[in-house]
Amino acid sequence: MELLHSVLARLQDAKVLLDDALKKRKTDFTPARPDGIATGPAFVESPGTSVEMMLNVDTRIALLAYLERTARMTGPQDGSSPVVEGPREINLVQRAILAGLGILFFVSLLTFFLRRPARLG
Amino acid sequence: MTLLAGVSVLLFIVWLGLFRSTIFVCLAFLLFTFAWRTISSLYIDLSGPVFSSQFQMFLGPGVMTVFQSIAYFLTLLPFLWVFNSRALHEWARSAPTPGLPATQSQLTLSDVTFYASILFLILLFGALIQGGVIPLFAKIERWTFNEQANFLHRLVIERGDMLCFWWGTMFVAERLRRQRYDYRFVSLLAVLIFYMFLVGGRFSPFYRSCAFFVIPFSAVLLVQARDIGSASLFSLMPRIADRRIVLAGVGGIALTAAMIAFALYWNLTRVRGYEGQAALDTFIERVLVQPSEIGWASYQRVLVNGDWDARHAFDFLFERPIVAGRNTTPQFLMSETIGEPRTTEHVTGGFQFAGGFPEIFFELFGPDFGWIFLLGAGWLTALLSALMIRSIVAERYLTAALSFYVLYGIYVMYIGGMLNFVATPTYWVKIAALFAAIIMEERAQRSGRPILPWVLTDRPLRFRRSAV
Repeated sequence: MELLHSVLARLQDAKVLLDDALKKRKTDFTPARPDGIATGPAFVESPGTSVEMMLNVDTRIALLAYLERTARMTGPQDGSSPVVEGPREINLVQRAILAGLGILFFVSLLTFFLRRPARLG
Repeated sequence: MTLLAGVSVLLFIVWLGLFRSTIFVCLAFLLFTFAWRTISSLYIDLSGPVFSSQFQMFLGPGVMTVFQSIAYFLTLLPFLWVFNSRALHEWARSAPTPGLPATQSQLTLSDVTFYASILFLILLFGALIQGGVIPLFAKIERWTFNEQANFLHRLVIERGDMLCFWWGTMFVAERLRRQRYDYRFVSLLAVLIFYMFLVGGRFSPFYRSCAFFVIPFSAVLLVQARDIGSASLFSLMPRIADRRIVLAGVGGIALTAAMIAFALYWNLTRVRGYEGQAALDTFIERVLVQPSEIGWASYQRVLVNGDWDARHAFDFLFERPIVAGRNTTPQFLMSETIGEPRTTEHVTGGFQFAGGFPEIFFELFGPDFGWIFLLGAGWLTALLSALMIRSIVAERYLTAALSFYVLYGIYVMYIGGMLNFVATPTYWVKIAALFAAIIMEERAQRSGRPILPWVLTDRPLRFRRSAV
């Protein structure tokens, strides 16, 4: 969640920067990371990707806002990262047996229906 | 050993194509992926170390192909059992008796499908033109366009595969009912493929659309093989191929191949900005390294080094993934391979690595029990495929469509390793709907009033009634 927040904030900053640059018809700006290090060479190495990134700041903001909402709804509610914490206590053997029985039940049902005559009457 | 295992899978697929055509066509979507991934893993295992730009590390040599090939065999073997010749003969007996072409007065299910599809495609192209941005000409990526696309485009992205399957089913129904090929549906498919080309599709949309259109054709092969007692391609060809369909097939394949070649070239050189040798290297890496790179790392970890943690895998896949609404398997495999920060950056940016099957089974169930679940999944897939094809033959279209719907989740598992689809309630609703449809259609057919009848209305009769 924290990473999402930070990426979203960085994108919103970038959007403001781009809007300003476009309004001023300034085309020679150099994109920079929050720590001040210029990321200019990326334009030369992969111009297609960079242009695409620039053009879609709006949509990326919308996507991230959506992801943030989704993460809030489906992720852990205590605000912690979903990955860094240790796994919860789950009875895996029980889950594996349930999954196996589920597959067996599904297979039996399908076999039963497939063995019935295809066209009745 | 690696070479032997990989070549065995490829030869088995060829054998299916030549001597078990019904299974081959029914599995068209998966077999292509299996063949491609086998070639890719052979390349990594035999010509490694090869550099992966996504991992920023070297992969191979190794023995991944051996494990992967056994997993593919376990997936495919149940099909030989379920699609045995006795069962095929039994299903073929339920095919409709071929009759005369529909009269002008009749409105059939395929007519309604065709008219509705035409309307849909007109609206789809209208929305694309009205939107003012055509990704092919604007030189933007398809996922960028998808993010801001209209409702109809999103419908194609989310339900386009289902639509192609339904067109294929109607194409086959006309063949089984009237002994003729309904070229209207081939044209619809061609138009949709052209749309995919315009919106930045490179390979995957073409492959998916064509494969899902072709799958129902398995029913035609099954019925045609009824009297000759053999499902080999050589004996079936004279029965299914006339001059027009061969010309249409060859033309369609050539045109689609040309479109794919152009789309790949355009995307790499004009959209992504690669030049010369860099474009070629990127293409080779995408084709030969990326399909199996995540699998290779997983095999090294679990099957070679015995390093796996089922609890952690379960927790990540079903309880606490990075993004819950999507396929969580690549997220997990990426996180284990390139680390969590880079994975989060990629996944939240809408990008993930290819692959996931069968390696996720070993990550979750371990190096021993993984095989049992692979076989179980293969068995389930074979039975669902059989139900789908048999329903098309017996004209139970609702069951066929819902079987495909349930099967689709499993297809996604075989392509991208997705397992969290079983944890969504809607998937169980689909399964319940399938069993309800099986029972209801069976009863309705027995009473002579099918739920989705072939002839929907007979217009003169209706006019006469209204006149009275």
